[in-house]
Amino acid sequence: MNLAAVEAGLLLAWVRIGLRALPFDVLLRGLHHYGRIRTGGRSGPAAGAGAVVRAVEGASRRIPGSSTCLARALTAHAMLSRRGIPAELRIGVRPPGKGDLEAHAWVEAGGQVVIGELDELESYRTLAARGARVRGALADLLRGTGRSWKEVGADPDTVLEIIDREDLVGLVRSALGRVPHDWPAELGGAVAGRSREMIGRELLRSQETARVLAALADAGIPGLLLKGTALAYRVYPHPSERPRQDTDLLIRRDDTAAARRALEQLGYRAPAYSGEDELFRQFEMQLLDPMGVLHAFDLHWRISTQARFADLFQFEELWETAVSVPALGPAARTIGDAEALLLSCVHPAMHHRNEERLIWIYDSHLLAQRLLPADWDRFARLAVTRSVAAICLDGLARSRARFGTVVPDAVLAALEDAARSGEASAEYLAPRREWRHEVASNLRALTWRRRLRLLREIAFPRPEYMREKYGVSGTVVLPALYLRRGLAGVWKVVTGRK
Amino acid sequence: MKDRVPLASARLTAAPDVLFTTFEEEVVLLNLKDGVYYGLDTIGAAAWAMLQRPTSLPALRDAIVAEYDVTPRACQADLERLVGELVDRGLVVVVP
Repeated sequence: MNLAAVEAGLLLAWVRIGLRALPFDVLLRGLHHYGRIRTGGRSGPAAGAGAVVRAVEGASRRIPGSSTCLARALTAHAMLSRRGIPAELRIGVRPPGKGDLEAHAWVEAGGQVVIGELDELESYRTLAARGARVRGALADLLRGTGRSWKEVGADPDTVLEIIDREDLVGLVRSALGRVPHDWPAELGGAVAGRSREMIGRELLRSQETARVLAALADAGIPGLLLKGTALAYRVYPHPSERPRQDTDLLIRRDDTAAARRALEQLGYRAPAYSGEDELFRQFEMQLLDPMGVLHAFDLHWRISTQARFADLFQFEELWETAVSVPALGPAARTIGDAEALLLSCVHPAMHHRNEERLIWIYDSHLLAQRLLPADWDRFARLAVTRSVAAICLDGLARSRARFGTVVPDAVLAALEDAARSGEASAEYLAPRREWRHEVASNLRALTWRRRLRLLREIAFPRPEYMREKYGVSGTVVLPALYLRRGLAGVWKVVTGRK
Repeated sequence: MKDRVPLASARLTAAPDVLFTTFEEEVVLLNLKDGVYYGLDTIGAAAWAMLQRPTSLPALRDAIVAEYDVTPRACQADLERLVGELVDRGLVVVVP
């Protein structure tokens, strides 16, 4: 038994437990971090992909109980990522009534399906593949030049999926109330319902965020809110219009241990995969509140996990120009608007393979609208001196194209000049997508009930389907508790030792 | 429920364990006791704003009639239903 087989067995077992026991986002983050731990593989990429897939399929047969297509795809994808083999995880759905499964997961590498091949795979459409036209219509709605429903060219369910996936629920709801439109009332009603749910969650979030910031302040730890949470409370009309998974907080390097203790005293715990690791330049702490809302804080002591951007700003210089965020309590501070716009422009290139998400572009748009002439000067000077002018130009271009953001000509000219000199950071502009965002956004795209169905269908394929496809006679589903207690047992099954 | 104070003469106020926020013209309430959230439209939102301090049904009715185009009789009936529901769900409490 080789090492890849052992790894596949353990990881598959963990993924299967995780699919039942963990919030899906937490599982994805864990796998994302796992995939970043590179191995020094001896075999070439092509041979590597085959070996990984054989290892996962072998483990799937050996471990008792049924491993779903999603569990196998997640496992194979994490193992391929770890070996530096470019692979894409896909989750597709198809209209109900066209066979056994409405949802299926598979992995593609080098344009080939390496795991999860099905005869009728073409009939599954990945959610990310559709909707460019709908995104355009949504952007127009937000900028107040609404399009007729006929021009949107999609059914209400699809549009709702895209609104959800793009994190635009709150913004679309308020725009539908403001802009004259002929969009179906059922869509407006569904958006309003989702929005209320998010507002409810935001109420808990704001209370909890204020509690955490107060505790850090009491411990003498200055912190700066970055990105989503800061923007939600500083530039959005209502904070629920800016959904986010976690709250990013920049602290001093010397304060990391004290900050961890302060959060632990509030009941926060580090997720299993997250160590206080210099490599990531951040650590994460989570708390599941009694309402079932997960509060996650990402504490950074560098502005970025990417070495190229890690020293873009130092804590002290940001602290000097910090502004308060009264809605999150007296201790809440965030960075100035010029710095925030720069980070908002850099963020997709820095961490998300330059993915174009409307909500991030809208962040930049709202920030740009707030900037005074002196702020623009500061923004341009920072972009040039920190060698991110090309990236900032790209970010502003998106914002101008989507939302008609007004940017002073002098700022554009200064950025263009600097960009021509050739900045090393410009390589980050190559459009790539990070797999876990694709998966998370695919799942976000489904409304709650449909998402539950999707997860269940991926997690528990019907017995007939299993028989037909894999010759398995019936599904044995072990209780999660048994599996957890029996991890040593799983090890024995995988290694063949008794 | 049968022997509670008649709402018409009670002093009423928002329950302490309720978080709320205004989105556009709607108020969303979250009851921390059970995690259930509610949406209140414009008139409901206006009533909720007034319920932040102890008040009474007649006072609520008079304030809303002064502000909106509604007859006192219709407003009274709507408010009784709304406030009754808020009390039943623990969002509004009777001040002792």
